[in-house]
Amino acid sequence: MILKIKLWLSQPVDIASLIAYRILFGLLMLWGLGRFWWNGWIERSFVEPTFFFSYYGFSWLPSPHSLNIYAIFVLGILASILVTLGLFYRLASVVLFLSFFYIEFIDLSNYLNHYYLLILLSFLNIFLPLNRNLSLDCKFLGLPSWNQTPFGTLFLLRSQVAFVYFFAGIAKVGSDWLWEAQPINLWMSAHADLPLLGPWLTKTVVHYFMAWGGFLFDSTIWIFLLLPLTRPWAFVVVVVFHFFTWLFFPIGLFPFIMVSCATLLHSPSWPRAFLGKFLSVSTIPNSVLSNSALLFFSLFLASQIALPLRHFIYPSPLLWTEEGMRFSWKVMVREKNGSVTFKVVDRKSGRTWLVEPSHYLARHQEMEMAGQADMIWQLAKHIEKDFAREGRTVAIYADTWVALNGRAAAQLLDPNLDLTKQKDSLAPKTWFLPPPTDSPERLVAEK
Amino acid sequence: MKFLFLLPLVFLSCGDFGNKGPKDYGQFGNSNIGLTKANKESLPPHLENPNAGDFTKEKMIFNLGRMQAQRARELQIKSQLFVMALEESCEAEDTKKAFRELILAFQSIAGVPFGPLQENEQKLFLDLYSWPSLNTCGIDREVVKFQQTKSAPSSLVYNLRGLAALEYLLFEPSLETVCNRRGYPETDVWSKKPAAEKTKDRCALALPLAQSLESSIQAHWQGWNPQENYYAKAMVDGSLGNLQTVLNLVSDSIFEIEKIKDKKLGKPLGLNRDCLDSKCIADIELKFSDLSLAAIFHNLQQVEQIILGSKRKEDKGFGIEDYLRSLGRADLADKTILAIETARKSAEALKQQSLTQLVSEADPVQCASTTKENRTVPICGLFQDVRYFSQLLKTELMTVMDLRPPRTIEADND
Repeated sequence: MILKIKLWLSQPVDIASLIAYRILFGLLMLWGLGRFWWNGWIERSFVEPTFFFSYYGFSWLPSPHSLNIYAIFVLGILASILVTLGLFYRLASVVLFLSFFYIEFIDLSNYLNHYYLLILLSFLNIFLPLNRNLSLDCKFLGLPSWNQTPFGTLFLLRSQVAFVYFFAGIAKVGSDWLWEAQPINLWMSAHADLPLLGPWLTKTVVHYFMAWGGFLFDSTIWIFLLLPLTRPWAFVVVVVFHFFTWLFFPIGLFPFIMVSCATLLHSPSWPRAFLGKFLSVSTIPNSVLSNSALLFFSLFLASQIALPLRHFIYPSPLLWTEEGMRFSWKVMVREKNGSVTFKVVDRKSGRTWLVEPSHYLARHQEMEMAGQADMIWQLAKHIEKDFAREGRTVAIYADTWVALNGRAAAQLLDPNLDLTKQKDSLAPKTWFLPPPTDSPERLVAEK
Repeated sequence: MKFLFLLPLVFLSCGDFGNKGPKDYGQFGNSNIGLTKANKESLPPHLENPNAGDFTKEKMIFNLGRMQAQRARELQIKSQLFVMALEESCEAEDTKKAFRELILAFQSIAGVPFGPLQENEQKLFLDLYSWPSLNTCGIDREVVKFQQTKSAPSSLVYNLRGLAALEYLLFEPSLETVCNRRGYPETDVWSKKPAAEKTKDRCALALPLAQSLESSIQAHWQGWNPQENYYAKAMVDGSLGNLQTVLNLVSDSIFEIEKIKDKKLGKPLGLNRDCLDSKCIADIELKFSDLSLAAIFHNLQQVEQIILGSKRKEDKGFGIEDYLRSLGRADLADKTILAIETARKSAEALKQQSLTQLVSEADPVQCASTTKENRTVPICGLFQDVRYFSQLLKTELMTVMDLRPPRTIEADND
């Protein structure tokens, strides 16, 4: 059985789509890192903030204040160019992965699903033979060209792309998305003034169409892209779908990343029509996937199935507590806005302060933190240390109010819980108050 | 009292937009404030009376812009009256009265300062008002320098001029300087002068600062003036982005409520992290003229008017509440009106009082235990009222109106 799998993954397929993917990926990373610089987000995200939220287990990462964050961006940008050109590819891929990983993991409040996808892809790219054709490594450094690649290399990337779509679809089952058309209803009602489309966007039937259409799209589009018969139409749907997400939502590179990645689900030879004359002709040496490579494949894919499903371990409602929310493609399922005030009580004198997060955080950090318990806890611990520097031992309570998908604001955390006495862990937290049980209020059509 | 001749303009300004031709005031560098470009095409007919007929988001935004333009006009007239009074006599009570009216007219636009005040990273706003960054030692040094050179400074950094500096020059009672005597010996010499001379010296600098301020306020009015840059029209004609983007610009300005909560009330009351001592009276806004609570009242009144879309609840005008109702959220509209009305009424009840005195008298423990419902210390109750409105803004209003926090980086909902 294992041998059959290894042979199946080893069978040669055209390398052309992987080469096109490498070029698109490199350009997207170049664009992504470049616009961070261009838009002044480096200052706003890494220079101006005085506090950074850490990912669980990654608090050891050095602060951007202690490193030259601009140098890290320069490294990432250079590596993106080298990946695009296929020059010093392996080294460039490692540098690109490490620099982007650092940039995104240094502050939890910057978490975005598409950044996580780029981290995963840049990690996988290190191990894939994406420089085996149409690369400067082949042209100038004597790396043998391959016309084909083991199917496993394509399979790995295809699986990753399919997981994103599939789990994004599954995330919409049982949530406000399908049954209440929320938060689509909230988002679309704000676009009622758009020319031509505007009046349609206020109609309930359109909201439900978008909600169910989005669910069906996410859950199944990868299948239709893989089938030759449906592929052309499916790709048109992909482009149209992501065009509208780009039009309506401030989601940056995501539509472009997904359209580029969708090309991996096409026939491996699809770029021949464009790149054919540039691709060199040579054959891949016969070999069978090694056991270690198969183990790597298996572990990686298993992790990508387990992570999106881990929220089932947590008893509390996912959208309320967000335990198991990150790294699991829970895309577009919640509109959550919150307000947090920390009540800081001097244990000796009883003196009380009402501390606003804005004292420590940039506005985007504050808004991200407001609905996420682990981040609220991290800031509470930071405030505890801040007051300790002033010679005060304090207890800290959080007054947290959160509005989820159009419901009235409700308290997220127990306001009588001293956060300084709590410890963060991956275990389910007992800090939460029950979520609101009412259905979200629906916005009606604007005249 | 020649400035009395300008009084009719104050009344005229409430009804329509007057137009004052551009005047060359350029003294402290307001030549390049980069306001929205002139926008003189005619107004679409449905916006000529924006509060008539059915609600639309476009009418609401235009109406809010028009109201802001009226405030800008009132501010401009008050600044002219103040400069004329100051030219006549610095120490007269009428001059101080004119300043009080000017600063409160400013507070009526600074509560939600959308428009030209917010452009170019709030350059114009800071030209007008630098609190809480005012550098009083720096101002005293300028007073001394002005006496020595007898020529108005050609340029001053923002925290040495504007309304906050004028309040210091006209109202600071002790006539003492906070400058370090060793670091700035010239101010030490100056501080030994008789009180009357020191008052005169401060008055001398006040005049060029007031003229510069008038120039900035004139530039602000030019931004709103329908005959010039017509910002209210720019808000709906796509010059500033689509209507949702413009609504977001307005909502970004409503976030100034945080300043009321944290800087104007929380810090002096010792509730804020910035004040680890029991109270921080030194950080009270407009403490020299004792207008702190009146300023907060005017700020909150403006927020209320943005919510209502009119100056008074009884008048009809399209505001945020109408938008919420049009979305089917009358419940949230009522909740929002109640929240801001409660805060405004709390401020109104206290506006004649001295915040400095109230803070001095407040018991910190009782203040910290005061809630919206249990109003043991009224000034701390006002803080809780403002906090509640802020919470409503950050949660339900942001969600229902699909607003984004003041923009930094892209959103999380990918």
